[in-house]
Amino acid sequence: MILSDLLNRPVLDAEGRTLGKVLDARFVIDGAPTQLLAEARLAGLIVSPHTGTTFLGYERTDENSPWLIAAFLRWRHRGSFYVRWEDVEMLTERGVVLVAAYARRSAALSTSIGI
Amino acid sequence: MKQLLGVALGILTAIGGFLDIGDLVTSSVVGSRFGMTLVWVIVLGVIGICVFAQMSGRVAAISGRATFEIVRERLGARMAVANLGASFLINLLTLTAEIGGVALALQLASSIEPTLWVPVAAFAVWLVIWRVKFSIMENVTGLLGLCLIVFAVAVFLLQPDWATLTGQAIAPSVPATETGATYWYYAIALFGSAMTPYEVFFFSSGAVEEKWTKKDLTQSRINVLVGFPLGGILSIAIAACATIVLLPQGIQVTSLSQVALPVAEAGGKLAVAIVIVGMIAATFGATLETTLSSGYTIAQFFGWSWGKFRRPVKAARFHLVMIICLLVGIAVLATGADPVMITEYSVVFSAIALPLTYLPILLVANDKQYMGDLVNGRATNAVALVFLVIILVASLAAIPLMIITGAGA
Amino acid sequence: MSCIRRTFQRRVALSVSVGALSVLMLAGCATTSGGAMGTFSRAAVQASSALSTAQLTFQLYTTDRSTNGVTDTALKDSLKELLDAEQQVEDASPQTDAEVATQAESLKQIRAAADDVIAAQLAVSGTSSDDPTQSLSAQDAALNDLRQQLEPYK
Repeated sequence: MILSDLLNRPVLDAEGRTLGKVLDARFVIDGAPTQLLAEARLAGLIVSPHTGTTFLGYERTDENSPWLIAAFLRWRHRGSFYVRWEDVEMLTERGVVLVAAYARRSAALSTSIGI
Repeated sequence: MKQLLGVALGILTAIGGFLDIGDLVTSSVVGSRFGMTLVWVIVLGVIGICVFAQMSGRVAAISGRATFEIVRERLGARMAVANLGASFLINLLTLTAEIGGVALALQLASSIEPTLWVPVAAFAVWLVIWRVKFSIMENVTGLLGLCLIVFAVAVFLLQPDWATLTGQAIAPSVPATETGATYWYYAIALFGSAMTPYEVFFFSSGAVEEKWTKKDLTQSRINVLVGFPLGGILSIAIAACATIVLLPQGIQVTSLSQVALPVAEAGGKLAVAIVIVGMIAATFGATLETTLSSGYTIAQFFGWSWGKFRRPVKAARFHLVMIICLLVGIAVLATGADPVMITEYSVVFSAIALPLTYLPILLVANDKQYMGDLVNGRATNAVALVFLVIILVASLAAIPLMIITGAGA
Repeated sequence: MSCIRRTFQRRVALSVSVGALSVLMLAGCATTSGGAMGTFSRAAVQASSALSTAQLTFQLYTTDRSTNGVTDTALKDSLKELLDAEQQVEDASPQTDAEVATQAESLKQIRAAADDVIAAQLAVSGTSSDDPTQSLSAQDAALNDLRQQLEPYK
């Protein structure tokens, strides 16, 4: 699987309802150690209900300036959320299917481990 | 005392470094066809470049990293590819125009065909990039570029009718011999020549090369906020020279030799000699900057080690990119393409690509993770947003206007 | 699925390049607008500008205000512009008698202008002792007339 297989794909819940599109994938570096860094592990996906276009990094923090641009992008991506990779049931032709009991988490980056 | 000298040197090189083949040609073309009626665009462009150049200088000084690295990290690969593609291609076009400009300026000095000068000029550029220290390279070309002040002196020597000149500049109107479409086409070209994207990339990478820190912020601000406007005044002087001498005789500028004629009329042989030195230095300096910028953008995007502060062997791919870009420039010019025409296209395409270059810088300069307390203030953001709208309008209008006017014919 | 996306990306890339090409072609087409008379009119503007440049250059040279390098280059550039204008007039295809006449007249004037620039080049290089100042300014006036006459067709 490569990243392009995920990005921009529709995201469905267990009953097949569309939740949005995959906007971004988030990785943690805690895999097997290599020369420089540990290997990256896919931690979860950012899902945006209305559009698959770029969020320009505003999902990561509560950064709010320049106000006009931040407000516009927040509005475009209203309702976007983060799901853990564990909450992904399977990848099908129709898109990424989540488990029935998936949890919508905040898309903001938190400094603590285990997002 | 030493500090004062440093400040003065910084300003002087900023003035000399502001002008390149794009400014020389576009200002002169516009002056010879539209008089002073487009001077307001130069003023607008200078304000714009000041806002964004000091922004990218600040990003570099605070984070210790060049704009492009951060764009790639903060905005993600897709946006960075768009940004890279646009910036890199425009930069390559500008690089080609600048090498052509060096060749044309050398022709004025020697009467030898520019096609023969192209490989010589490109080789000299490569040699300087390979061997010469960054600060020496910047200061020498910048200071010699100051010779272009002759244009400002020439305006006074020509004893123009000041009332008419300032009248045209303050209350602009489309001249009877031109159409509204060509007027706006050249407005965009002039705007693109003042806000050429490479200046911003170069500025931020240069800040890393010279290892700027928070301490150097004031110096960098002075360089930009004093040096660039003074460079803009020289741009206006070039347009004024063409307005005074060429416009009344129905001469439309199509070559670099015509740019020098008003200076000859005003100051004679000595002035011509000085202006040629200035032209060579300005175009050569700009060739260095665009060549380095091509290396910077690609290397920073892919995360390769880059910079003149490293020995070439430690940044091999960075140097390889620059050599390839120079060869591409030589190849394009070897087809016999007119450097002046390449220049005119390069400034318009610069204008088209401006939003992709300047939006990311604005976003990064607002990011507390990189900038800490030194993010943009409200005033800067307000001005920058106004400029973003102007840039967007200019970018969208450029292609339709290019079609309607037959590229300004 | 990724295959589909890749074709999509290719299609986008293709349409972008086709778009860019057609822009350049359209920009080229716009310069051929106004039929043959439009071409003659634009050529007259170009030629008139080029000859005025040559005249100014030569005058600066004789009054010892300009260097050899600038003089040589500016005269060469003027000649190139004149030859380009001549080429465009030659390539135009006139439809009416009036257009045929204008084409002949334009060619005559542009070629005379080119001859004057060559005369100036000879004078500068010292090959000829004739002073082209008079004929340069006479021809400049003639081209100016032609330009004004064709102005409405621009």
